Amino acid sequence: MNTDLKRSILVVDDQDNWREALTSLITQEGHTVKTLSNFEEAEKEISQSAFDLVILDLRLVDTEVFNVQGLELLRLVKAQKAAPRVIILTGYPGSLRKGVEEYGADALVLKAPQGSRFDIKGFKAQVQSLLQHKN
Amino acid sequence: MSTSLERNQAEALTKLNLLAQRLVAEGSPVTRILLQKIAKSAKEVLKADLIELYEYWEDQKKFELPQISVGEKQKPSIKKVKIYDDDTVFKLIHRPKPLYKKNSAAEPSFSAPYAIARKDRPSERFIFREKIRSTAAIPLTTGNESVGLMFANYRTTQAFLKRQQDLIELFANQAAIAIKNARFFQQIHDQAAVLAELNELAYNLLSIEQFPEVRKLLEKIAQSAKVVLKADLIELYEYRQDRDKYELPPISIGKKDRAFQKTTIHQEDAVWQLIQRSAPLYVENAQDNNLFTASYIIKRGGLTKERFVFREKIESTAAIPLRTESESMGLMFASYRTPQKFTKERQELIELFAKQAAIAVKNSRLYYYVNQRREALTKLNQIAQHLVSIEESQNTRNLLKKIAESAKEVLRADLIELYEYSQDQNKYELPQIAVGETQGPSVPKNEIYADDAVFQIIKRPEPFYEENAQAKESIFMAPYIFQREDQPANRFVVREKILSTAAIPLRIGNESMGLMFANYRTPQKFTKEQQELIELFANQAAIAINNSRLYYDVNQRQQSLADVNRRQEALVEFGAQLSSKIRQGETPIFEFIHEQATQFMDTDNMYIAKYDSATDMVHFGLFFKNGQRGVVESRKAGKGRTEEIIRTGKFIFIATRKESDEWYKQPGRAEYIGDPLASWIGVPMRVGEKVIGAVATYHPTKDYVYNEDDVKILQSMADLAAIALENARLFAELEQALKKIAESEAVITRTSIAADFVHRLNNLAGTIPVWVDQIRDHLGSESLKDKKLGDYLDNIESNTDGLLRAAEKLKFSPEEQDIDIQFILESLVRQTRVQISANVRVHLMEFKEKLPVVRAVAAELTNAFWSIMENAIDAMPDGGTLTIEAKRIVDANDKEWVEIQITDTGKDVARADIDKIFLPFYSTKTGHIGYGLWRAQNIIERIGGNIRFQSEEGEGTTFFVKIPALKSN
Repeated sequence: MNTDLKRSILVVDDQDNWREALTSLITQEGHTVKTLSNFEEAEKEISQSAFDLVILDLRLVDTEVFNVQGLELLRLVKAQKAAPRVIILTGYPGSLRKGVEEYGADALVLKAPQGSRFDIKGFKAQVQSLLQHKN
Repeated sequence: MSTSLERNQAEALTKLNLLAQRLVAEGSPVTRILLQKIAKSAKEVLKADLIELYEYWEDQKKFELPQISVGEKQKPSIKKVKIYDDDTVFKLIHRPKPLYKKNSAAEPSFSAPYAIARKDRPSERFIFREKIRSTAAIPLTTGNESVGLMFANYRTTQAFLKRQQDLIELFANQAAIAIKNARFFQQIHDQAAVLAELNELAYNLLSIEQFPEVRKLLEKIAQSAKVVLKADLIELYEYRQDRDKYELPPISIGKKDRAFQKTTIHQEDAVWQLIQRSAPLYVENAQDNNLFTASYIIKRGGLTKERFVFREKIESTAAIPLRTESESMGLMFASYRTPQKFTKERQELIELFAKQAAIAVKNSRLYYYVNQRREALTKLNQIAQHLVSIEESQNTRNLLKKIAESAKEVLRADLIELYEYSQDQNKYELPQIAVGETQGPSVPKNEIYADDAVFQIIKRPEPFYEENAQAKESIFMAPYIFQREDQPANRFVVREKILSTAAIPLRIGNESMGLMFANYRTPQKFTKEQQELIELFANQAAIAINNSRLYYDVNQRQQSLADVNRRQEALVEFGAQLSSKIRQGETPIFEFIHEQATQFMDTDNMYIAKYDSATDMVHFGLFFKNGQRGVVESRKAGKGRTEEIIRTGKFIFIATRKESDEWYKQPGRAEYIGDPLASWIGVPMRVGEKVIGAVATYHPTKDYVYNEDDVKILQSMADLAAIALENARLFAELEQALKKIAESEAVITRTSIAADFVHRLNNLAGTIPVWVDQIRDHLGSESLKDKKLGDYLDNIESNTDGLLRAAEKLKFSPEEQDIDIQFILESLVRQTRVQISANVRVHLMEFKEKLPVVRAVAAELTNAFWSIMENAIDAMPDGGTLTIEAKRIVDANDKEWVEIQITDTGKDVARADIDKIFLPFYSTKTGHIGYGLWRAQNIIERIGGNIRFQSEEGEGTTFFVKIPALKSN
């Protein structure tokens, strides 16, 4: 929509359907998207390329109770000099508060907030707003 | 861990071993010397040209040393050889009777050509190489066993009259006894060696390897650990402190790259360092840790193979030593192939599993300890039985009588008398052999005195010959008796009227064993030849007595060994029955100790005290006075005997009233007030280094009621009982712990399955609205004017919504909600006042302002508060005040909190306990498993809060709980 704001966005999510859906929504807004599915790839990518926004699913390992990998990625992103904005995207709200507070994620979007559907408009607005207020 | 039982066993073994070693080491040469002496005497007496003695081993069909040969030989002695069934010598050995060949030259089997005639490897065979004319070949037998052969060879023709034959056989008999003795000792030695080996073996077996059920339990723990901890590899290694070794098979759950075998570990090895740590080690990035990197392995160079190395490629690992108070029992690894953060919660969870494993290993060791002893004792007993059943083949008395009879005949004496003398008791003993007519009865055995005639004779190294006793004032004369004013009746006197006597001390080496008299009622001339003959008989008698003593000695030891065994058997039974009482608690164990001790000693006055180190109190679990069950109040540990035993871990044995009074006069001991005490035994109840109590039994007035054996028995029983008590405690702890694990596992499983399902469903269904949205976008508003298409898309969306709502309801985990802490505390205090004992006051401070709302699961938070309150109430067993206060605070960062203070006036949290108070299963309380505070901490930290405490000496403890306020939107 807004071609002036063509930005690069990194999406890290282990779920194929979400990577595709998010790609579709973001490219619709005219931004470029890079999608990755695991910690190792993401860690490498973060250290090599600069992004304007990172959308991160906290639970990157299906069996991991403590979301150690997602939180670690968040920490790594925010530890960068010109740290991009980060949206935490999760289907599991229970474990969020601590990570967001400690590592300073910029926004929190639930895949299915309290049993209702994903808020597409809200998500788009959040992305847009964070890109505009990019540091 | 060393019990008295073990020591008794070791003692018996050591004795056996020493005895056997002494007899084998010194016995063999002694046997050889004896045999040589016998052969030499035989040659002289029998006037033979060549005496030869061969020992024979029936089971090996082999002649063995010592081959004794006295006399000139034409050919050198043969070496030990195998003999064959058709060999002459074989037939000779197996003859029931001696063979007397008057002219063996006529006999082909004894002549040289016989040897040459043997074409089949004659050099290996036993052949007769000597040219002899006559030979007496006497099989040496004891009972049914052939032990050798004695040859009395003559180069001249012999008649072999009956008397000569008797004499020859007498010598052969001596030789047989000597050989038999030597073998008997060898046998004892062998058995002792086997027993020692067996013990060593049993000792080696102390490992979980022997316990499939323990292994299963450990595997289960490891499996649970893997699931709950999400580890890639859980490994449990058992470690033997005494061996510095890991034992196979380690338990390993998860996929491994390399297998590992049990091996010795060295002090510079990584695992050694891990085991020695008392605290767990958490390595979040193993690649950065020197201990775990590949380079470590490579640095070890050539020794790598033998060593314990980390071969797995792991990113993170938690290495938790499995420990009880003082003992390292192994190591648990929770390893990850991905980097991990070991948060406090995770560490606690991991350590909880390690604690389970440690308890399981400890239990298996304690159980095994009891079993192992049982087995060793059974073997010991079997051997002892065997030893006892070995026939007492010697009828020493008969033998001595035979010697005396022969002596009388050969020496033409009127009276031959043999007295045995016990050097250590300074006493004559039976058998007193008298052959010939006596004028009076034999004297009873009596003490003899240094100035007695016989004593002087016995002490002489040389024989004493009196040719005419009446010719001088001899010590043998009747007047001698009357000169003794001091109790002459009890003295050993020579009452016979004799004119000549030969008094020969019976000696072997330096030991005086008796006296032989050859008495004559007519004057005699003792020529050198006659003296030799007399001494020869005396020598025989000495050998016979020596032999019988050796047997007696062995028998004595067998007897005492059998006694020890009977006691030990009873103790093993005691131990076995005790272990069946583990589930029944302490009192049945105490009663059983009393019941069993009664079988061994006077237990009319007995008590069992248990010591509680946390409170420094002594509790009397059982008390008997004058045979009646009674009750004694618990007391603060003081300076009494019981406390001294508990403090030092050493028994106290007092034999008399006088000793008892003396005991209390020693410095550092309290003055004794109470009923009199005379005989007294008290022993510690020990588990390893720890003393958990004492068992005492006494008699108020009688001295010497107990002996050293009673102390040993009581100590053994107390140690077994201590293990049983400790086992009972560990058993209960394990059961509790397993129950907790099972409960929390079930919850984890249920909640995680539900959460996982909802998570997946949300994830999958969550993108459907995105695609609907994309379709709408793609079609554009024109196409959507087709009402139906729009409706279809709406339907997809609303169905998806329904699906997501349904999934949300499936979530099992209780919902967090907005909570008013004031409400929770008020209701908790109300309930508490109803439930607890009247001597604890519960005071809830007034709320100064409205508390902010917090976000938590209500039931969990209530539970957390209750755990802290319960802990505080338990710290005030004698009563006190529990004060609860809650207020709103704002920290330096402007963050709003609710702080709850829970204060007790109970005893302080001991300094040593500070680090542990929040650990699972830690408790200073008896009968409680310390799980509550751990859980409380988990709950509070999960909602972003924290918990800490402060303890002031004499004032009690305050717990501070801080919970973040919910930010108002």
